[in-house]
Amino acid sequence: MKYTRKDWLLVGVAGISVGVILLILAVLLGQVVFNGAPVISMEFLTESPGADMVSGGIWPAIYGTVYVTLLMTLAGVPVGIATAVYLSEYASASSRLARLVRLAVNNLAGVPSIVFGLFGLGFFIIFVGGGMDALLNDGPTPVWGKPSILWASLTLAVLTLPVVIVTTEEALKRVPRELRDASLALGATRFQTVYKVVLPNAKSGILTGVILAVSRGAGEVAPIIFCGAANFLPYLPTDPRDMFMHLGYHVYALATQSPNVDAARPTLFGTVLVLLTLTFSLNLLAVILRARSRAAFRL
Amino acid sequence: MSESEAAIAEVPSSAKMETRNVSVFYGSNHAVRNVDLDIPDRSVTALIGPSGCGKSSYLRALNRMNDTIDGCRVEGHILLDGQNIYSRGIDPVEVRRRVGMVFQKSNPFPKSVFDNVAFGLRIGGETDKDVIAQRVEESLKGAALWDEVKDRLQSSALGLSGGQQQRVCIARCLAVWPEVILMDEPASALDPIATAKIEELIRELRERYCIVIVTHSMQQAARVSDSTAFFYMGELVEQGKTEEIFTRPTKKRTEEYISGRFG
Repeated sequence: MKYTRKDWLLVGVAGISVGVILLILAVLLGQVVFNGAPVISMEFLTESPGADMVSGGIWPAIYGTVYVTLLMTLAGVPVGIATAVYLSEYASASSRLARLVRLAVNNLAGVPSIVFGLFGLGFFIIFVGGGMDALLNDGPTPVWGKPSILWASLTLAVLTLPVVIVTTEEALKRVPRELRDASLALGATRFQTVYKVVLPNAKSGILTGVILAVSRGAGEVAPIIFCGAANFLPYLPTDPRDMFMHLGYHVYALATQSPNVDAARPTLFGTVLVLLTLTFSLNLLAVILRARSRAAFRL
Repeated sequence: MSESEAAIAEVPSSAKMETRNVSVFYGSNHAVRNVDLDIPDRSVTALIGPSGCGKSSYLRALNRMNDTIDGCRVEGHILLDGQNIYSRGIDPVEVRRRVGMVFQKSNPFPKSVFDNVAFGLRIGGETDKDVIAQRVEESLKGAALWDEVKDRLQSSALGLSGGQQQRVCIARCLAVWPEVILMDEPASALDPIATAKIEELIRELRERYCIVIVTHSMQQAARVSDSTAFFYMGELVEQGKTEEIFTRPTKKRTEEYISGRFG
């Protein structure tokens, strides 16, 4: 087919967009790798930062990021998957509850992440934590009602919930109806059908969604600013009620709070490189799994 | 087994299933209208009629598969051994265990041949490996598939040919020892040789089961069935012994359809 002038215009615009995006990505990554790679060393990855934040390593931030992300996954993913199973397998098309949940999920996905931070502070820390202190704790210092790993994880879990729900529901919907029929016609209950047929066949799709959600959660800074991330905490947290260091927040702290911003720059780039490596590898895993789940059905 | 035999004894009728005044609605669409039909045991009943005549909807009402469709409603009485399967307190899961179904598009699970056939047993709570292995073999033999797959029970059912996949689905259905088997155009997606095998199988299964088959092909209905019911526009137009329906139809619509004037 021959391209007309309008077609060429469209191709040109698309080409320029692709070029700009690739250029930005290349500059960004190049910058980060070029400046960050030299500081990456065993010490950088395994030691605590020095008192000036610049010397030493970033191990507590790596540890805190992994800790918070794991706890977030444990708290958010089961709820998200259960919700998606309800929406896809149980709710009828006219169900009012299902429509309400979908409305909430769609709106939740559009809320700026800093708002989630405020929500975490107001709901989890002050309301839930404060309430628990009032009930369980006699002393004057708050045990629950203060920023901590626990509340930061739960806040992130709420933030990532829409991603888990939407991607899981899509994965469930991709399981052919014929397989559900086959299972039901053999005398399986609805629960057995979900558990033995639908979920196993949606496994890689669900895993993709979970990984995308986890990688989003791992990179978010705004929601945890109020909820438990610490500027400088050279020891590792031992209790979910402790505060923690976080890679993303550490970048922010180094860039804005450090006494000597120029001296902090290599450490800053090193931290960014570690954070990017973490989220990129999670995304890569998600891409691979998604390709596998697409290939699974040829019914 | 003894339970259903007792039920048969209670009911004088020889029919395995009886439907009285059965209607199926999709929302406001009245897809099946007031169908009365007796389905005898140990025989093949064919449901024929043009596309959209309600025969598949009627079939799916016989094991409550319509329950899974949003907005679908069934009215009237459907009796299995004299008991209404739509009465309150009847578990549709139990109905489907007794009334199995084979679908138009073969739908094996993406699992091994063995696991496909064992699925119904396992969800039914059977854990004894020997019992399962024996029943899988017996069912695959029953579906005339054993000789072809006995050396690759552990490979995926999706690797089999279309006809073999459909026979896996039949074996899977036989494994739970159903009393009635519903078949929704089981050979419509198959080539003539695979179709012939399925038809031969249906004739064998007739010895032991009550079979209801929906088919587009009148030749197929003539070849495999003992009695035939002709559906048109959601209504049951005519029913009777297959050879009579095909040689001496009493209704004009039936005659026009079987002589190929429409459909």
